[in-house]
Amino acid sequence: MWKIINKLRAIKLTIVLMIVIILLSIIGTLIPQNAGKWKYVELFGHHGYALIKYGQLQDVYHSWWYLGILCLLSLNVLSCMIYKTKIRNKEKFKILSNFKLYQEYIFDKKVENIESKIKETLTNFKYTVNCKNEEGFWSIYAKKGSLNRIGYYLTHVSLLLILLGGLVGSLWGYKSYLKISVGEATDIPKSNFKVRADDFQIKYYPNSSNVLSYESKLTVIEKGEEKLTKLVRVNHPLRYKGFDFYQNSYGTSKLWIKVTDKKGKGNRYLVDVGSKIKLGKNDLYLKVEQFLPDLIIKGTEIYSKTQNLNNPAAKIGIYRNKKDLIKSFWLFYKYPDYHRNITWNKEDLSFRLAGMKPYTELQIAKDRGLYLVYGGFLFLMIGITFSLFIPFRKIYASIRRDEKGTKIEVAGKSLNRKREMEDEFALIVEEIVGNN
Amino acid sequence: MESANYFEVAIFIYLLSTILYIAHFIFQRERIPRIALLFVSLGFIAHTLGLIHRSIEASHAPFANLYESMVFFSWCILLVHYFIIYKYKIRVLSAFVTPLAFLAIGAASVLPMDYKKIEPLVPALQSYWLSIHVSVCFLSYAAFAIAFATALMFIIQEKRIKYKKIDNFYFKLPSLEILDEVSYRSIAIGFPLLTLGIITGAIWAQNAWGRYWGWDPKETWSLITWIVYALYLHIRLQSGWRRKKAAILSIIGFTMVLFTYFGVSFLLSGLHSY
Repeated sequence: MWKIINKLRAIKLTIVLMIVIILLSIIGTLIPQNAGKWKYVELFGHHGYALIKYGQLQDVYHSWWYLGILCLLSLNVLSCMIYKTKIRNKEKFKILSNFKLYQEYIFDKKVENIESKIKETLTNFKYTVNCKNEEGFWSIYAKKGSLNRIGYYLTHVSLLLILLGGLVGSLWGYKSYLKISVGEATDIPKSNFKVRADDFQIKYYPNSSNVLSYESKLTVIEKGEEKLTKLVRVNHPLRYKGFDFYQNSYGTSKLWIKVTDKKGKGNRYLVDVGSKIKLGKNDLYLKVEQFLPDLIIKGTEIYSKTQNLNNPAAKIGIYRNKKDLIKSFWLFYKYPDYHRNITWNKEDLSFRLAGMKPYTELQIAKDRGLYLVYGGFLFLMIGITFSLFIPFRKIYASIRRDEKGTKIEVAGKSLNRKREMEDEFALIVEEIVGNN
Repeated sequence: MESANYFEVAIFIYLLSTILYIAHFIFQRERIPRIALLFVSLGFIAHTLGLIHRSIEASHAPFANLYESMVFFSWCILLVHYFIIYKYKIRVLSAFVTPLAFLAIGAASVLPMDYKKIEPLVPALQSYWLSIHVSVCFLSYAAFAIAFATALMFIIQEKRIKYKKIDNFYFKLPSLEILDEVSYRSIAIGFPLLTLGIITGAIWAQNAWGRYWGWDPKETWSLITWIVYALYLHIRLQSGWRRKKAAILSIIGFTMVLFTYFGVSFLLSGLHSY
């Protein structure tokens, strides 16, 4: 086990994995992701497509490659932490003269009280001091900036938390889209409540065609009881029982079609876009073939210029016995005078597009890993701040006395900000041996 | 006066200072850097006033589109540079940073008129996260720009020493140790800021689109940049790479920043407006 950890903890592995992640991520931004087969064939040819398919490059970030590398990186990080904890718990005796920051002093006489002087000095420099006395040989180990070490753990644990959160989210998370017509309620899958759309509105900036907000008034209904009502708009989702509802899109779901007979008697029908209804007592059926919110005609092409209800138009088909098309025509909401007539079986009917009923499209998400990820974010910020702004410094000292005199050795080490450490080390050494 | 006028003043002054700094390296005149830095500061004041003016004109934070962001980026570079020269007393840094700031705001000013228009915020941008996310991101970019400038100075100085070429540059640039340290410290400032920028972006995306991460090109490239600087820190702190290799990595890191900022905006399509 220890052997495996020792192999996995290598910094070289970390570096290689980071570079591989960088390269794979770049590939993912250069090759279109999750596009259709023909897009790839068009861009890279058939062989290119085969290669992309083989390497799962059409969805790099969810490929086994990527997941595998992330797993390996997690193991790398984990073994690194285990290794560091283990070696820190058994600080070995160090040969001080091997340190880059090193000073030794040899006095001919016996120097008394130097231990307390060293301790005092180091304490003044805010070090935590540990002393050991073994038969006249003093060894002193002092450190400061332990928050740096804590920062190290927080940073790396947070990365594992974020990756774990992402995994949990993608395995047990849930995401779907839901269209609710205004005034209707829909059961939310995998839950015991309904959501009703009370209203949907697009608001504009004053005197401008720029959209200020898309907002849906939603009401949560649980067991027939209205639990809460909220205005949902972009950046302001509705949260209920772990489900989040986001304003995603909107459109028109149903149309009011007014049908008037020759006596002037009118009937209003609410018709789903794409569906058929029976007209009164006749064997006639009306179908809304198509609805365009902003119809424009360019040459022979008819299409919707925007999603906004600037020029709502519906293509209506009139059928006999459900399947024989008699006539089809366009109706325009903004031009009520432009109505259409048909005469059939002595009936004379005229049609008008009298209104639209909007739907709001919500994105429903339930991410069980979210709190892990957010926890990871918090740890990551604290961890990085600690480990970059609080330097961890160590000072070792030893005092050896024999008949000939006293030998003092002082050594220091800092992981970052080495220049500052050099200055501090010089000051400490000066203070320790200054008067002798 | 409109905000654009303030920016024009700032651009003019930055250009003037850049020319002064070039003169400083050609002729031996000790007073030039003082005057140039004074000019830069005047430009910075005009720049600041312009930003304040712009946010009043637009009634939102002055970084909602590419033009505004470039002007803001330039401002952030100078802000971080003031912090560094105050802390490390290396005034000559201004000589390398002022041209960068000039390029950023100058490039912004030559953008087509369409880019400069004040547009009301689209629904997704109407959030306090806009201010937090963008300002933190640009401060991190600015810190990386400083790290880039010092890495560049390091490479120049290192060449002088290697080939024993004792010229004006040699005398005016700080020692290799200081340049190495400042480059590292700038990255040590930029990295937590970039982390915070990505995190705030993720939280915002979760609020706006229901996912904290969606592999949008900007997201992916910011992650790539983050990993490059994480690599820098690991290599430096763990493997003891310093000096020239570190300087080269710092330069590579900044090209990643530039690609994340401009490359993604112009070459790859995504959800970010810039």
